[in-house]
Amino acid sequence: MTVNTGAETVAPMIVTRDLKKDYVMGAETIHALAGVDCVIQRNEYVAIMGPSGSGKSTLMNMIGCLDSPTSGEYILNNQAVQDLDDDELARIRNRDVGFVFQTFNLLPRATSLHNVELPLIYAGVSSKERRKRAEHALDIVQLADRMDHKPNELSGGQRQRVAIARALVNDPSIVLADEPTGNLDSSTSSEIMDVFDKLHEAGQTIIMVTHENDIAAHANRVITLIDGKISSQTTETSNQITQPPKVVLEAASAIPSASQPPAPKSTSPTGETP
Amino acid sequence: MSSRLGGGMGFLATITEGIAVALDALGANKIRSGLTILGVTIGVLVVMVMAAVITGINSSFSEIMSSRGISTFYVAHWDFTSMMDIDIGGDDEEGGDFMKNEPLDPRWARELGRLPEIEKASAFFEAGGPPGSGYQASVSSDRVEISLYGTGSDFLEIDNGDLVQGRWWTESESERRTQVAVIDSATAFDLFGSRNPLGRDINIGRRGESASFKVIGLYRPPANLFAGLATHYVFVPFPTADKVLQVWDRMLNFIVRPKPDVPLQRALDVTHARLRQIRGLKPGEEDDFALMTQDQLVDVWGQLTGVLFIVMVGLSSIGLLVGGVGVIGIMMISVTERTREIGLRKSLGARQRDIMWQFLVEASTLTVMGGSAGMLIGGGIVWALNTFSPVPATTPLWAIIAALGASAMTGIGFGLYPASRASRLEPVDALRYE
Ligand SMILES: Nc1ncnc2c1ncn2[C@@H]1O[C@H](COP(=O)(O)OP(=O)(O)OP(=O)(O)O)[C@@H](O)[C@H]1O
Ligand SMILES: [Mg+2]
Repeated sequence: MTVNTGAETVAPMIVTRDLKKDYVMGAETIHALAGVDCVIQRNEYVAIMGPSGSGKSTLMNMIGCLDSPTSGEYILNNQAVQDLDDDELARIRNRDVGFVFQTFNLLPRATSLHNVELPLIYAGVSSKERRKRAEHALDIVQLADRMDHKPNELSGGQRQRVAIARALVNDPSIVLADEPTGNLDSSTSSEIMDVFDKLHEAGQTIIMVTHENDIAAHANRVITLIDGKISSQTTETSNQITQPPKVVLEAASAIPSASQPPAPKSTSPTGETP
Repeated sequence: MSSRLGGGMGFLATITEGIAVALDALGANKIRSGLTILGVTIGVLVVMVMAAVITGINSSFSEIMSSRGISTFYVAHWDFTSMMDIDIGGDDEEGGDFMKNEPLDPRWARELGRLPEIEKASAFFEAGGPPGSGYQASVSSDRVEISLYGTGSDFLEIDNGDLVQGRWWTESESERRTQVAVIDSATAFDLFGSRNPLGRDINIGRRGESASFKVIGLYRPPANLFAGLATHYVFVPFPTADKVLQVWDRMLNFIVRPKPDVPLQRALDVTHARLRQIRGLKPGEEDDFALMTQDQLVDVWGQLTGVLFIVMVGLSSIGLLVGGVGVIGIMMISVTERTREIGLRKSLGARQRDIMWQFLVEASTLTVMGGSAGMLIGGGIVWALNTFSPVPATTPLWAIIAALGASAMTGIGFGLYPASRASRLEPVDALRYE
């Protein structure tokens, strides 16, 4: 299936064919992924669900190029990822993928600003430009006032927002989030989900692993994994943005002010500090 | 987007990042890093100070040699330039030529002085260098270890020191074995404080036996290392020393200066022939004395400092090795502790070489810090040696470059293995690391 943008057809962003990942544990082989076929379009907002151990994280790591499949094909933006060498993979992780982890994974001794700048350092961006873009990304997650704080001076929700800013800062094609609210309480979770929703509204493609139905409800489509295979998926809802995103960051930055009045439970500017 | 430039991580950004991370890690593990650094610091310090001292001593040695006149040579009853060979050769008969050969007779110096090719030949007895000479000078209860010289009345004509006050003794005083002495200012100060030493009496002697001497002159040694090391000079007429101080005649040497227009070899030849004659050697009999030129002495000196140099290189490489093992250890720990960080960096787009580079910069930062600390402390020691001791230490440029280079190389060499191990981890494996 392709997205129809007027006359021309756009190739899907992600295609996997018979993607498998085996772990050999002594005599036994665990099929963490047992042949996954899926297609994800630009601008989709996909939730991946399934029981614990069903292979959700494994699939996410595959899509984010953090891990390599045992067999099968993975095509990201028309590039066959399995053929790429280490440097090209690093480049994809750097520019095409923004990964948000359940455990935040911030550098503990670095400020928010420096944490967000990291991908830009590896992209070879000049320090002035880095600072500008990192500040902008922090602004999007409404943490402009916490730039010089270190992770241990931030609340869990704030840390995750720093991590989201870091995922966004290189303007990736997809944002991948593996249980981004798994370590957060429910009100902080909805704060984080607001951020994802706004990013999606601005045209960002998002794939998110979650255990919770109300989190999954934010997505347009839910893929359910069982035993390393896709067991079911809902059809896409009709609210697709047909226009491909140009510059997601710029679009997204317009959102907070635009959607401030109708979003009463969004974060207060002061945030919360422990 | 315009940011999608080619290439990877900016060169400068990685260095500053690496240094920042290294300093950060350093701050987080002060003791561990401190110990790592210490080995490198000590290694570099040893290289610096030793190099400085050896360079200083060498230049000072050349100075003293040339100040006495290039063609001045020495006569002894044994060949002390062969000292090194004896040591290496092992069991000669005990003491070798030093004990076997008859000592020189001071009257022979006068004989040599009469040769038409020779301008001056002077006998001198030397019980040098504290401690060990055994000689002491004392005034009532104050006593001080001295370097005792028994010389001729004309010694100053060959030596490069100065008489700053008073006078040297005359030839007739020498012949009459008058008990007079010329002392240096260090001795004067220790025995007389700020009082004028001229005309006062001092006791010179060893092992309880001593004789009283009247101080008639104040001597200032030439500004060179040996003068400085052998501080506390006391000069007395050779015949007097011979009579009242029971000096060991085997410590007697001649210093000989040829006339300016006489080639050195010619002077050596006639001296050699005359001495054989005096000694009553038959043709074919071996010399029982030795002539030593400045060049030979410089050679011996070179051999001695060569040994020192090897010791120095050995010591400092042990220091650097210990430091290096420390670096490899701390880097392994650092890499293991920060496996998740490496996974994170890789997941954010760091390439293998970026990780590698980060840890290399980190390792080098540690060792260069250690090296710089060593250089600072070493520089301080060199300065102190220059200021407060007579050792004329100068830090040669090569020592500084070698020290810095060696410390950076240690860091890079020993940081390489853990760094390359870290850089090859799969991001997901590194991230999962507990
Ligand atoms: N490095 C590994 N070595 C061995 N087995 C592994 C490894 N990683 C994952 N597995 C196995 O693969 C299967 C899928 O793991 P995965 O982490 O993808 O599950 P998940 O769906 O994300 O579970 P959860 O909801 O608990 O996070 C599990 O059975 C797990 O034990
Ligand atoms: Mg998981």
